[in-house]
Amino acid sequence: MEVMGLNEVMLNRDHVKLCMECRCHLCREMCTQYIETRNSVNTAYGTYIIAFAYQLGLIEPTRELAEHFLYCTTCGLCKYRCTVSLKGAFYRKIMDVPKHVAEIRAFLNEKVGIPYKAGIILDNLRKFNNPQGTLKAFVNLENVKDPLNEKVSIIFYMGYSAYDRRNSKALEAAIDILKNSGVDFGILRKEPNSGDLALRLGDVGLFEIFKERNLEIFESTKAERIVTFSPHDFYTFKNDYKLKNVSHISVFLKELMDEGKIKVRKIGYRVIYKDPCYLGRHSGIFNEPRSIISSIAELEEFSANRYLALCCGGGSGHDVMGLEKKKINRVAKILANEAKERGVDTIAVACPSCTTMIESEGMRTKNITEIVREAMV
Amino acid sequence: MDRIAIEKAIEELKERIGEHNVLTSMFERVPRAMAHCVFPIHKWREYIPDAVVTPESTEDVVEVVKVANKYKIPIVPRSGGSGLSDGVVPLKRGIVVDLLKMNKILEIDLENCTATVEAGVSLDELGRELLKYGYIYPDYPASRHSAFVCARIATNGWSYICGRYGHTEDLVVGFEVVLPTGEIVQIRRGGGKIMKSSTGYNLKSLFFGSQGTLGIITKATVEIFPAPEVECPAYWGFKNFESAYKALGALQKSGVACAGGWGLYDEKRVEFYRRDLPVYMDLPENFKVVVFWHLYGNEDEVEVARKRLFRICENAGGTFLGKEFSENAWFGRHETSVPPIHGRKNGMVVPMVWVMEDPAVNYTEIPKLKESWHRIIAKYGFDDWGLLFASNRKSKQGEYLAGIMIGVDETEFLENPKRWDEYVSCRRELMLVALDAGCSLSAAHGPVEEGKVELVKKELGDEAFKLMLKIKKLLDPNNIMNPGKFMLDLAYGGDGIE
Repeated sequence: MEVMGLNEVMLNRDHVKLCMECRCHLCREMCTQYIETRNSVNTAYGTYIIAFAYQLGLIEPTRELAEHFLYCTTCGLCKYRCTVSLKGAFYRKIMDVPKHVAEIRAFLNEKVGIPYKAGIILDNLRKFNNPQGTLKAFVNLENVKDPLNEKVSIIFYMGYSAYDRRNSKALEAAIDILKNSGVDFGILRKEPNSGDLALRLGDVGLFEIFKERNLEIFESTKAERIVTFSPHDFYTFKNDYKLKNVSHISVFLKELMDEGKIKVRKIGYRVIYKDPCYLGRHSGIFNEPRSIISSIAELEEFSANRYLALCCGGGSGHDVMGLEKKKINRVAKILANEAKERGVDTIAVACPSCTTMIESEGMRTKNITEIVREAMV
Repeated sequence: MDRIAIEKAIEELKERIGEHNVLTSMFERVPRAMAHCVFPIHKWREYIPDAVVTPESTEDVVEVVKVANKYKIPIVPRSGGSGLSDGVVPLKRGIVVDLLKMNKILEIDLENCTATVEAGVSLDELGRELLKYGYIYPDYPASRHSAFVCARIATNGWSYICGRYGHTEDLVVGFEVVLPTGEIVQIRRGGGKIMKSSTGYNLKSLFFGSQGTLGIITKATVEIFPAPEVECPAYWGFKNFESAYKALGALQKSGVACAGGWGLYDEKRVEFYRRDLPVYMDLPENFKVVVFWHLYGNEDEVEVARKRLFRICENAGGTFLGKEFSENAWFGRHETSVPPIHGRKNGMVVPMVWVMEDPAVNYTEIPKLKESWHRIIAKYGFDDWGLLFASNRKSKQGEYLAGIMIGVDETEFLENPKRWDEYVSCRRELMLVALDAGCSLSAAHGPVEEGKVELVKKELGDEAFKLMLKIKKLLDPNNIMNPGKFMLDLAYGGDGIE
């Protein structure tokens, strides 16, 4: 990613001018951070108006401003609510809010330093290879090949979920499935972080380090394909590394099911599926997870789904940095309440951040890998 | 203003309503200086508020008002900031009271058909909640997705489907208001759910269109309706203005009770829609003017009414543009009214602010005014986005909201501040023509912007305006509530212009 100063993100670039001259506020209503804080400045509109005012010399870059820009989860729902974007794909490309937020963060990091909360995450990434700052992964990797020692055709990339107790269970489910279906896969024992969080938080230098390390390893293993557990890593590999042979676990599982390598039985319960932002909205993958779930359980839909699905509130490191201090997680609460109103007690997710955020509100979630393992025959 | 007084007030506010509810960072204040309306961005600095407070309850609002009174600092209530007039622009700076945190839906009474909400509940939020029970709150401004229930009282908002359900003033049953001196007053009749009553003065009307000059509305009880079985929009193409105008006249005399409303897009407006996006209004070439109407109601009543209105339009020489076209155009009415991408300057595409001047006109004046308005816009060289005439009343009289749509490139003001003055003169001239034809300055947004506000006195008459000044001074002895609006500063010996 190119680092762009606000000066360039500004006035002379189309999106800021378009947003400034429109001011429709349509992005506000469903914005995760607006729902959390009820502050209309924490929206795409707020971002652009700040950028515009900066250009006019009304706003100085300060540490407070940098902290303010940590609010956005880069879920990108605003892109699909924006009046300008509604006019077509061409304008949607211009109004790429998640990208612009990351650019502004990078700029502010350079100008006023990295904000405290983001600093912790970036430090952890640098030192421990994971944003949580955990020393050891919780995942049991017995009898799993190491791509650096043995040649495998597929690398299963775990991401930072391996350092999280809850999500490592879902990871183990995935490993179980892969083992049972006879796939030739391996998992790196010292997996460098994908750098997704570093990039979203505006530390482009750190991202480049991770990118270089990862690409080096991927090349040396000569694996044909990378399958990621997290949609965030999938998106980063695909769009920021420009890798071609990368897929998300849900797509891979669907392929295995189609080939008959995984056989599942119907389990008589109802689940409601929540589209992860980086799998659905950002990558356009909606049908694979749905078809996996509906072959096992009865599938319900949230009233806002697919391109308009709500964010869980965990993007941009909020699942790591937010939870300790935040008293309520309103977006996850909205999701949990809607599920309860429908009489569903489990939310099916395909992203570890969703698991963390929604379970923090006391709602049971199941990763798609857990659902499949449960139903395997 | 006294800088020390402001510092003291901010400190006291932090004590009273909590530090996290008092925002003083520049990036919180700057965006709250403007609304949706065309804004003189070269003078942005002059309107940046000194602080923003985000009260969480009516009690917090009372504390804010008391502190403001103590230090004589202006306060400006704000929620959506989507108004098409300068209602929320802090002309004299001071404290912006951002009400978005008060976002509870307090009660939904399905038996008596009312809903009670706090000031930070948007039309969409209420609408989503009501839809669970099969009900709607039928207040549909163009900004349906960004407007707020209580703020609509202060602007006396206008609704697209007023023909069937009325405007905000017909839908609000009662409300709670914090007066400029800090008292909480319940403006209600009976137990708070009675709409028609003859007890005492009708105080409700006083606050409609007050633009936050008489107090801060913190709660409102509104009427809700069972969702209509059918929503039937129809768009008609006409070859010339005369026949479309006749059709409009016939529609208003049709006496159809379930009509949500009707309207007309003139030649310039249709040309504007054709500019670069046929996906929105893919009209056959030979149609110059569009007339639309929409029916809301039970299946059987709509079926009968539909036939009648079809006959009227066919007799007037109109061509039905098709079910799909009509549904798309009607569905897109909220999103498509804010199209910054269609601006043109010297044949170039330039992002522009959508300005809509909104006088209320009588049916007979439409043809004459249409000519004059287009002439004035052309004279000043602004991008003419055409006119919309939409029915303006629940009862079916010949009264219309005239939407004069103009594209203005705000960034031009930075290089050439004179352009702003030109726009203000253009607006004033448009309004003077309207006033001479017996129109009202504003059917929907409130005439508080430069270029319009000077004419309020002319429209209301000297005596009525004096009465307004007296009421303002009675309720707000220190002139703290949104000063500078409606030239009400005259009541305190000020000049009334910012």
